[in-house]
Amino acid sequence: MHEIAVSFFDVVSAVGFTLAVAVALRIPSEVIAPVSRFLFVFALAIYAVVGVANVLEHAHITDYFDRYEDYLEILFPLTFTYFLYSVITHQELDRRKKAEMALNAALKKAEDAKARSDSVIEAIGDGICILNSDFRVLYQNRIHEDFMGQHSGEFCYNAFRNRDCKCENCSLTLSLNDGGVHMMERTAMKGDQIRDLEVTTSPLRDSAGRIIAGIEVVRDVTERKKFEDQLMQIRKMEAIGQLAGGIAHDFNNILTAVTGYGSILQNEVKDHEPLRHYVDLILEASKKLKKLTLGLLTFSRKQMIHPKSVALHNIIRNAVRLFPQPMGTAIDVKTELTDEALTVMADSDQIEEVLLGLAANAYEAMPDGGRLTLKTGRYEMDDAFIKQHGYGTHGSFAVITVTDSGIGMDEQTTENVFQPFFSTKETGEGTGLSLAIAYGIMKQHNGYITAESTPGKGTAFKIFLPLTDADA
Amino acid sequence: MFQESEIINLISGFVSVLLIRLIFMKKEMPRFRFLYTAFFCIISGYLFTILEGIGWHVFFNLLEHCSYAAAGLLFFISARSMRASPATTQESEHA
Repeated sequence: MHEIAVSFFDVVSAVGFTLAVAVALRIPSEVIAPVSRFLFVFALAIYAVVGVANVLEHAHITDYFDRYEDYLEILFPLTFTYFLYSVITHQELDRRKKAEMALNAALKKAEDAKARSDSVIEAIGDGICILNSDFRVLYQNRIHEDFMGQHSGEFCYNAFRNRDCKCENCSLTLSLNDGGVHMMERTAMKGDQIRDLEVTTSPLRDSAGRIIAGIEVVRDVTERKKFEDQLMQIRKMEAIGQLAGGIAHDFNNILTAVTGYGSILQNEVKDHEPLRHYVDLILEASKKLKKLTLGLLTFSRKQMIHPKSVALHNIIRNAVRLFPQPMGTAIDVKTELTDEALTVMADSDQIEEVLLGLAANAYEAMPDGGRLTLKTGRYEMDDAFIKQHGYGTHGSFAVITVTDSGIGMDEQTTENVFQPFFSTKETGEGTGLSLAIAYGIMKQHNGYITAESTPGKGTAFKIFLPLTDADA
Repeated sequence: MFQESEIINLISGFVSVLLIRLIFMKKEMPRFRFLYTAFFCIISGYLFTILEGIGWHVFFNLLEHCSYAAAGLLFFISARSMRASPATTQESEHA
């Protein structure tokens, strides 16, 4: 019975260890390293052999392996202990390697996130600066450095405003105190240009919501302000035009009655009568007023025009023939007409009136003589023109450039030159309407008129008329 | 009685047990529980071999062979569980 039990246990042992060897050979490398697997299999093989040897002995087949049992059994504890040691060592190494990989991955992720946020900050188009609660500059993006210069580590009030202490009403102070967004305006020099800047400050918070620094966003609003000024100028002209037009229209009606009754009086009062002189004065004053109101109506675009397809060069030649001949001064009038035939849809009389008005102004600007040039050409109106002037439409235009070598105008005069009743002459020497009338005529023709002048060098007026494909 | 090799086996076995108990078992390898138990069965077998030489020969002899049989089965189970998918193995190792 004892022998049977022992044999049974030996068989179980032999089978168990043999199966364990077979299975252990297939343990994947991800679980234990190949070296560890070898040691494990070797340790199991020891007792597999011992088990088989015992089975063979009990079965009285052979006891050949009995003599080696002791040596094999001595190896087992050492082999198994070393197997465990190698597993743990490899696991430690594996863990360290995985931790290192995870750390590298996290670092790379952080670097990618930083690169992404840097790209976003650079792409925003505004200058961004981060300042700490001591007002020291911690970070500036490239655009901020372009505006304000590189000032990392410096106090902002010293770096940006050349001050020794904080600015009064500093929006950054307000943002750091109340956690809100605040705005202020500032100017900066970029090269030799003064740029208008809009500065918005907001707090930078940590994950717990505490304010740890301030963010300053700087936007160049120079172009926007310029555009707003241009828009305001256009609206002003429109408003003045509407007002002038309304008044002129009513004046015209009243004037018709005055002129009419004046003519009746003129017919009734004989030449030799004393009252005849006063009647003539009344009619003369009415004529002048009529001319003034017509001018205002033209400026406000309430005057009827009769456009037709005409050759521009013909208009210019006709107008030049009508230019006044000033006494005592030598003014050289020159025309430089392009070879291209330019056909425009225009009221010839109105355009001639514009050119006559410009010529009259040019003569007055050249009291000691000079040169007046009329040049024509084709102009393709593009975004650059529209951006510069604040108005315009894309398309092909005929351009007439009227240039004089007169005394020129300063910047402020040039800006206001098309306003009605604006004049640099003495009171009574002019109505100040000729250029306003020219402006109104060009607007009615869907064209434009611009002025460029340099004091002491002369003035150039450019008239833009839309070209037409119709035959002249 | 007992042989010198059996004494040596027992001593080396106990040293291994100490090493395993004091160092390796602190490394949290739950998958290796069967492994340790199987090893302790082997060491128990060594002890029973010595005790068999002192007295109760039949009883301790039976126990000795029973220990080896148990060790064989436990090693087989342990090898099988280690052969489970790496994801499962890694999850339990990190548990």
